[in-house]
Amino acid sequence: MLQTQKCIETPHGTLETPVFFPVFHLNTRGSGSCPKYWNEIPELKTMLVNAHGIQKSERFHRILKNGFQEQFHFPGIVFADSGGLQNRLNNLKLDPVEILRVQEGIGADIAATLDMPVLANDNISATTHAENVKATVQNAITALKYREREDMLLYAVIHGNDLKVMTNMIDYLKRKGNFDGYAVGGLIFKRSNYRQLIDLIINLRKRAGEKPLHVFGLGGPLVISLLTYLGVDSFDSSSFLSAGSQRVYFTPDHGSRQFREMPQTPYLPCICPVCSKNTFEQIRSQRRLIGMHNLWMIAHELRKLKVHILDQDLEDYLDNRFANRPQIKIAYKYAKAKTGGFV
Amino acid sequence: MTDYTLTLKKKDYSKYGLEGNPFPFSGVPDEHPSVYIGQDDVLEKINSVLSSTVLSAQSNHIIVTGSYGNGKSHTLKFIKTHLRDQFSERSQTPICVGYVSQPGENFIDIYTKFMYDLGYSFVKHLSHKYLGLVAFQMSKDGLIEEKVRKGQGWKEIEKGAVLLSDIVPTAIQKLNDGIKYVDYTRAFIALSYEENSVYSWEWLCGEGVEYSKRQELSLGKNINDTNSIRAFSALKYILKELGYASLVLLIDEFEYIESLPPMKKQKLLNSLRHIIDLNGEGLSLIIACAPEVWQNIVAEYHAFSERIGKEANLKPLDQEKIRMLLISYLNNKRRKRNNTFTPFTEESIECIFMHSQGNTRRVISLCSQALDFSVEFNKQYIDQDVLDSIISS
Ligand SMILES: [Zn+2]
Repeated sequence: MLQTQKCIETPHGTLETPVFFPVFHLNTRGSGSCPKYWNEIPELKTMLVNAHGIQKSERFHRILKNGFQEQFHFPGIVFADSGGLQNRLNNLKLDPVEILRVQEGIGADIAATLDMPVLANDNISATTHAENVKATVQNAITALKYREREDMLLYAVIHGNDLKVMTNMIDYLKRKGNFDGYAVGGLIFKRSNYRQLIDLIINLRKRAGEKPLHVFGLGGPLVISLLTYLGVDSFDSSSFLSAGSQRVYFTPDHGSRQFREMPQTPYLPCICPVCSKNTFEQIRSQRRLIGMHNLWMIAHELRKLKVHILDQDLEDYLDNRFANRPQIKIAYKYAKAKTGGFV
Repeated sequence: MTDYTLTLKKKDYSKYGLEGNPFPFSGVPDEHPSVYIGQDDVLEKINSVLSSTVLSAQSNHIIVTGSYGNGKSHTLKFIKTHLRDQFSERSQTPICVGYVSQPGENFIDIYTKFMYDLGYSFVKHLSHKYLGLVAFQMSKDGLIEEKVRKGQGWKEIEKGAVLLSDIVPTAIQKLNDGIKYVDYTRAFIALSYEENSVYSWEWLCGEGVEYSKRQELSLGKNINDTNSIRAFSALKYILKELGYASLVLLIDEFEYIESLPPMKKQKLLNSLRHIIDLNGEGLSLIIACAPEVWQNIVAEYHAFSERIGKEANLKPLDQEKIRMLLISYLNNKRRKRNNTFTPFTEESIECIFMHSQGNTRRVISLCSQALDFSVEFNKQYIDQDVLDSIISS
């Protein structure tokens, strides 16, 4: 097991790891696309926003003036991602310092440096791959140099289509500056190859040392458990909502299930406030309710992980947790062997 | 049905002052021979070929002939072991040497066996060294800000002092400018990565790698027989860039080509001729072949045989050489080395000579059996009686 519990100090409070950041998208008018979960789930006073998305919304100047927390009545901790993916896909030529100023200006607690994401089909021999890695590294170094708010934590983003590239990148960045943490992107592509994913996380965890390690975009309850075991400190995802849109319900004990596969019963197998106050049919028909329930499940999972880390019996817990999930069980077995030095 | 129990009995050779039977079982050549006796002129000829390749940079080749059992494989393996020890990467003039146990049907068979003999770790190491060299040159030319000392390039990348992605595009371009074989360039550089390294290796060895994997590595075609000549030359180019003085290709059991249909045989010899012509510098082919087959080749395929240039012939051992051979082998397992051939006697040596007609393999085989026999029947010396018993059984 590589997980130790950390307390990360930020301007708006202390984060106790492992911690989850629900993704909060702003539409062009500048209002949020997801329910105000923070009023309902006390555990989740965290949020991940997209700096470029905020910058191009109509309310940008108001947010800048009032601060993000004030504007959205959100009394919590904001992690501001850069908008690197949009930058790459739409060739926006964003400026790393400009993005940094947006992150600082809106009052972010944690900011990720502007990345040029490497995509699954970027071949490691191709110039694009190397150019994107170089740009991501350069942007991180530039952000560190030009940061104005010392209280905002700055996480350097790590990308690349190979373990060697990524470990070399983090080693290089460590030598170039004192980042407050590291955030790994592009792992969604690696979900299907659990060995690569596990090898990668173990190597990055080792190199990040005491610094927090964030993983972008992987946030189902099972994968959070596995990555927590490997020492990842924080996660973000919008899958709780997108799953809601596809009528996918995270079950308390197993994985996720399609509503249409579930027998209709008077109540659902969960006692979160959403499932306690609403009927099966009400939940099934409202994406927002499914999304909120799913978020409760993530919060619940994190609570259990924290308890078992403190009780020092995380392995026992995960042995049971994954017992009936063949795919993740194999991955977990490999992770155990790997962290124990047996493979 | 009878009951059978296997009892493992360790033979005790200590009464002869030996820690074990020093003679290889049934005369099969050692993988890493340490003893080489009685063929000084052969070694000398090979040495002169290798030295002129290393010192003058001009390619030189030699054929080693000798009848069955006279030590062709032993000679080639001895050369390989010796060169790898003495001319390793740390020496002034490193030499890269690869052994091919049998030519097979096409040049790609030779190429594949050669690559496997060099091994994954070695070739991966070459890939690291190449990236390291490019890092050094880029640093010297001011293309990267980091200072890189000569020979330290890959170490700096490993430490994270140099960004791999700064180096790779230049390395790919430079290498491809040199070898003009983009698939080979990519596969060779990809050896330095983690995730596709094994597939790159399989591709580099000339194994067919399936389409989807090739796509992941951006590799167009697999190496085929024609391309294997380019692949071999590409590796040779890389070795030269990395400061290797020469590449030595050892091909054993060349007589195998007699079993090929004439067209195939001709094609294989043409490929080898091609390799020789394409690599006028820094290449040595050392080929071991049965004398009668080599005579045929000389008679029928001048274009190839003319290019080989030198021939060394392994002769049967005389009695004096048998004595020296025995002493060397015995000393390998002696607690205290000395210059005698006890427990063998003068008369047993004569008998070994007569019976083996100086054939090295038979000499070793007889010695091995005689020693085991003497241990089992608690003989003080290995004399005529012992040998008679073995020969008659
Ligand atoms: Zn619920």
